[in-house]
Amino acid sequence: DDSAALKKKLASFRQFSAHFEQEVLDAQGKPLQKGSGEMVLQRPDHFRWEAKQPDDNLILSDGKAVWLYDPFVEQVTVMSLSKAVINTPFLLISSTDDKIWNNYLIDQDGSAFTITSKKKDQRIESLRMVFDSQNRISRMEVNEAQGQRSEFTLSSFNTKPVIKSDTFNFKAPEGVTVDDQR
Amino acid sequence: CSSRQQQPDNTNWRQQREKLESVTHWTISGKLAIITPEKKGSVRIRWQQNGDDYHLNLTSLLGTRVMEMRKTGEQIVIIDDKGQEYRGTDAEYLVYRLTGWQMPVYKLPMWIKGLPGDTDYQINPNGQVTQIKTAQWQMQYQTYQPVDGWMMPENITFKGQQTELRLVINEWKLAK
Repeated sequence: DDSAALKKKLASFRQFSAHFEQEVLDAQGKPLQKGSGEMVLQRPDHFRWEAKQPDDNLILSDGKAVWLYDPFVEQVTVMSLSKAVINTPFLLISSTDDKIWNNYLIDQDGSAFTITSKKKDQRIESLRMVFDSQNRISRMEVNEAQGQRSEFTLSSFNTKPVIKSDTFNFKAPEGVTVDDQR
Repeated sequence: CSSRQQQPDNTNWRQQREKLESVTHWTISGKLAIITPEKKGSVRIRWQQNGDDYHLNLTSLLGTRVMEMRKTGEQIVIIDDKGQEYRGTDAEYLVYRLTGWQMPVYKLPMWIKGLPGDTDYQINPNGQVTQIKTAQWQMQYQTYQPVDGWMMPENITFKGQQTELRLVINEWKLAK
């Protein structure tokens, strides 16, 4: 199992910001959805994912809980970090908790790592992460049961991002419903 | 409000309706808000219509499958967010049982295009439907967008007894 190799690579950067492009493909490989935005990640467990296209929404982990803000329905859903990790691969990258990592089998193939969940009933079957020559994550693929797939491409990688006090803290705007699932 | 019977003779509407009835293969992608008394949420939607068959994909903000539904002839297959498959012939029942949402699946292909079928509707002077009403559902067409020289719906709200849907269409593809 190549988890030691992956953890070493991940431990080599404490934080980074990047621009992301996301494309979701159906089981036949046809595009379902395209999106892009900005992300910031700080290990352990801090994460900000601000989609701008086709519309803006925000996924944010403050280290304890994950906040999914959806302006379209003026609602923020709050989940415990452990529950959210299962569906948000980037949260796995930000985790340094071996208890969480032990749920996954890791297989290295050159600069690519395939992460497969040991538990079979998981929605996400496997995750593939590709590093570039400067040890930065350049691509990620999330493969779901029954073939739906999400491809992320990262660019404008910055290992010294500006982290402000509210980067990883969510403040619900006026009138937003809070759907607390913790 | 003028209802279907005394509909003024609006040539724009006649041309629009003929065009909409001729469009049998199309795809939309956008977002769909689903609001029930207990819960509200939004998903990304792609609806591909091929004649009487369709393929619907609902995807979460994270890009994971929320629900997929495919109609081929009489057969409906639904895949839920865990990849479980369900088969049947009654799409609306299958969707309701799986998600708790009431969705007017049979009429959606027409209503998404802004075609009223044989029910009460209202049109604006440009010949576009602004409202459709049936016993269970009321549709409001807030905005239209140009697609290949035709005006197609962009923002539609569907008010049902227990469920409200808000559809915003980012992209239309009309098969040539």
